[in-house]
Amino acid sequence: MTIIASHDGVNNVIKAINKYLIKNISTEKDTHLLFTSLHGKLFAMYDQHKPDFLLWPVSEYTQELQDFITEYNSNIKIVLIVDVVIPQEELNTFLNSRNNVAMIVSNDIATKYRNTILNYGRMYDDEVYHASELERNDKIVALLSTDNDKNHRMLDEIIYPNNKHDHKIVVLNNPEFESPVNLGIFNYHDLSIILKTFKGVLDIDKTFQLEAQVCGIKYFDIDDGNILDAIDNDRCCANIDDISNHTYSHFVQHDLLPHLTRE
Amino acid sequence: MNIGFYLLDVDAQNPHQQLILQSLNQLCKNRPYDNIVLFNNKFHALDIDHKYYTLHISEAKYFKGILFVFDVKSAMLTKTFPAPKKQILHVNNTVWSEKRNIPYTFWRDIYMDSNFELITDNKDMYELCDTCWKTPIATVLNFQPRDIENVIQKLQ
Repeated sequence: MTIIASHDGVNNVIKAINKYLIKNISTEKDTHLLFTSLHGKLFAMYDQHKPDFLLWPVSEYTQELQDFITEYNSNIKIVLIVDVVIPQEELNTFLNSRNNVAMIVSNDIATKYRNTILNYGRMYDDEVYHASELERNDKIVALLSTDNDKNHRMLDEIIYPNNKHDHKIVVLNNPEFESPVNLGIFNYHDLSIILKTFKGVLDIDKTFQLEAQVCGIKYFDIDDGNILDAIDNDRCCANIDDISNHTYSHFVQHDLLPHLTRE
Repeated sequence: MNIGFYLLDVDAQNPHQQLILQSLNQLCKNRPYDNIVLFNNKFHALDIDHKYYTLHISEAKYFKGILFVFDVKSAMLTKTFPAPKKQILHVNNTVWSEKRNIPYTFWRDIYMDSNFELITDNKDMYELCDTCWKTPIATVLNFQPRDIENVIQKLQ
C-alpha cells in the first residue's frame, strides 16, 4: 500500500494538483491519499498514518517542515513543489543535500536541484477552461501586471480618458491601478467567464495564454508594445501546440502519479 | 402607469435625494393619472408637501411597473424582484473604480443584469458605462421630470 499525504496549499497550482490527485488516486491500486492542511499537524499525522510521500509547496515552507525533514530521513519521501524562488542559499544547499527530499520544479525557477524528479511549465485546468460558447461583448479586457509602472507605461495612452480610438478597453486584477475603467479583481474560476465573454484580451504579463487559447478569445500580441496596432490589425499570438498536454489533469496522471505509485 | 422610485435612507440633508423628491412631485403634477410611488425605509417627515405615494421598500418586490434605483446597494436588493416590469439603475459615480478589490463578477452581476437598464448623469458617465458595462438608455442631467418622462417613453 502507498500512502500519499498532501498539504492543502493555497495557490492555484497546488490546489489544481491536489484536485487531480484526489480525482485520480485509485484505492483499487492500493494507493491512498491523506489530504488536509498540515500546518501544525505534520508530526502527529506522520505518527498516526506513516505516509510514504509528503507533498508540500515551497511557497508554504515552515520551520515545522524543516524539522520534519531533519527528523525523518528514511521511510518517507518529502516531495517539494518548488513554485517560488527559494531566496536563502543555505536552505537550497540543505534541501539539495537531503536524500529524503525530491523536487518538482517550476520552469520559471532558474535554480537547479540535484534531486529534481519533475519539471512543470504553465498549465491550465481543463474542467474550468473549455470552449463552451457564451455571448461575447464588444470590449477588450486588459489583465494587469503586478508591476504598476509597467501597467501605466503600456496602457495609460489607450484607456479612458486618454483614448483616441473607438475600442472599449477595461482593465482587471490589480487594485493598485487607479483608473475609472478598473473593474476589480478575479479569481481563477471567474477568469474563465471573462475569457469567454470579452472580444479580446491584453495579457500584460503573458500569464494566461493557455487559458485564453482554450476559451477561444483573441490573444493580442503586445510584445512590441504597440497595443493599438495589434488591436487594429487583429495581430494575435500564435497558438500553442498540443494544448491538451498542458493541463493539470495530464500532469498529475502522466507525470506525477507514476512517480508516486512507482508504476 | 406605475412608476416607482426605490430610495434607501432618505436624508433631508442629502441634496441629490432632495432633488429626486422635488422631481417626483413635479412628475406627479405632469402625470396625474399615473401611480407614482416612493419606496423608502425611513418615515420621517422629510417632504411634508409630497404628492406621491410612499410605501416601505419591502413592497417594491410586488410593484408591477417601472422601478428607478439609485445606488448599488439598492440594486443588490431589487435585482431579484419578480414584479417590476423593468428596473432603471441611475449611475452617477464610478463606485467600481473606488472599490477596486471587489471581484469583477460582483459588479458585472449588477450592471450587466438583464433586468436593469442604465441611465447616467452626464456625457462622461455615459461614455464610461458604455465602455465598462452596457450602453445607457439616457442621460438625465439633474434628474429633471422631463428627463424621467423621456426615459419612460423609451421603455414603452
